[in-house]
Amino acid sequence: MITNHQTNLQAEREHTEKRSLRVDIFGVDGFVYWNYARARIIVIRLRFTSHLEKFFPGLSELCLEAHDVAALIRRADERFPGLAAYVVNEHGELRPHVNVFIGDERIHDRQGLSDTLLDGDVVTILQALSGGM
Amino acid sequence: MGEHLAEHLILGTRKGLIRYERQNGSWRYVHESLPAQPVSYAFVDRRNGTLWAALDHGHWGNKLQRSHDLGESWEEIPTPTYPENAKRPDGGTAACTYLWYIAPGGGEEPNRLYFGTEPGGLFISDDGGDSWQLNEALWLHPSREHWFGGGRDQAGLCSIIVDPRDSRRITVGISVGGVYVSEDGGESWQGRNRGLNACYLPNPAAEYGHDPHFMLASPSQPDVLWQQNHCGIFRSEDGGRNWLDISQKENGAYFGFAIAVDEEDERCAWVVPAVDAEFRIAVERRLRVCRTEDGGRSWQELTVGLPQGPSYDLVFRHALDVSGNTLAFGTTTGNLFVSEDRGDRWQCLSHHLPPIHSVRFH
Repeated sequence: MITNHQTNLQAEREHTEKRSLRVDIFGVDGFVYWNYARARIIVIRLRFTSHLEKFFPGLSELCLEAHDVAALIRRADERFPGLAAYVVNEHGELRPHVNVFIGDERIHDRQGLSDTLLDGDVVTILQALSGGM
Repeated sequence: MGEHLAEHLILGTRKGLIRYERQNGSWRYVHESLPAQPVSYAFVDRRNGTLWAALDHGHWGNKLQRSHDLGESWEEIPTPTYPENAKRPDGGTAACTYLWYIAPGGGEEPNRLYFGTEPGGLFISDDGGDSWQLNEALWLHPSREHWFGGGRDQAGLCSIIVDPRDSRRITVGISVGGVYVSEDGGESWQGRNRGLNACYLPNPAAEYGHDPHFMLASPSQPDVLWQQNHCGIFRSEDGGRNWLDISQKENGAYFGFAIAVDEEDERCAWVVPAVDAEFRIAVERRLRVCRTEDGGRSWQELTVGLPQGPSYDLVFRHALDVSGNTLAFGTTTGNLFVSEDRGDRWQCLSHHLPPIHSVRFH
């Protein structure tokens, strides 16, 4: 049985493959080299606390391509403009009372969000138990 | 007294924005918006009727909302952000951690707004709030090393006064930092703290490091400034060049956060006293308002209609306002009081509201 999540994953992967099949041009010593490059595809399932849906109606699990958490947040912000500002501050640092998990593990780099992602990772954004009012 | 009779009370509370309306001579709860969202400050810009709400989500950071229909619908707009190279006095990167106060520009600047933030930055918008720029002249003032947090972790810019006679003359209060004045529209700033008392510093008469909780100018005489300070109540008759301690400790007129100034009489103001910093509750557990009608030479206790014990009500710095003869204030315990006779008698409109951060008439 194919779930919606698997369908979304496959669709995102195919979409990403099309985009990543590209032509790069390198100019060296006046010569032009053509290089067909195919980037490694990393598709992540990004889940959100339901609290964020209050501010972004329709927000649900996203399948996005990203190599690290910072890129993942940027990609999510492209789908839901303004979302990143709820998760990180103006310098891209994770807000103090927000947690991001890769699988069951909290990310380590709360400042730069450089934690590396692997294809198929499930990333979850939650509010911390601290910070409520 | 007063040409403008306010018809609305705008409350910023820990659980949303609440609006009361004057109907047939009585104040009625009429509307709630931004439900369950902590509103740190809300007010209506009388120049254009725009309702502004600064939010302090515990988890998701500070947000800024505006409404053109008194809260029926809202538009979220980008909050002021500190540039990448803006550093805190301790060397860390500055980021906006609280939206304290919004003030409109002068009458001939219909799109100008000022925003006071934590950690102490003043932001200016010249496009009605669509974009904000940090005022670098104040942010880079050499005295900023003397700014620090009081109550919150970092300094907050909580008071902004634009002189109605000259919009380029701006006075701000930083808690903790002190009073600064610009005579040139924010291009340069001078400290104005002579006469203030920083009772928590080794040198209470230090040039900087003072704590004006909230500061206002008398509308009828803009050179007369008032402030409820951490270390007393102070008044200036020369635009802040010299401050006079007008506290009267014996009846509690000393520590507190809020202050309101009469629209027509520059000798008249109100405060809501509290036990000082270690307690932050009503003096003697009795809620009172103190009023002066002689420029601070004496203070009169006003208690009729207010709980005379036990009361733990505290009134935050933006939670007291006056419009003509009508005063209103909200408390941390969710009580909302109104007086229609300049504070002589009070009526409680509700005992059951969320903690109230700001109260403004419109």
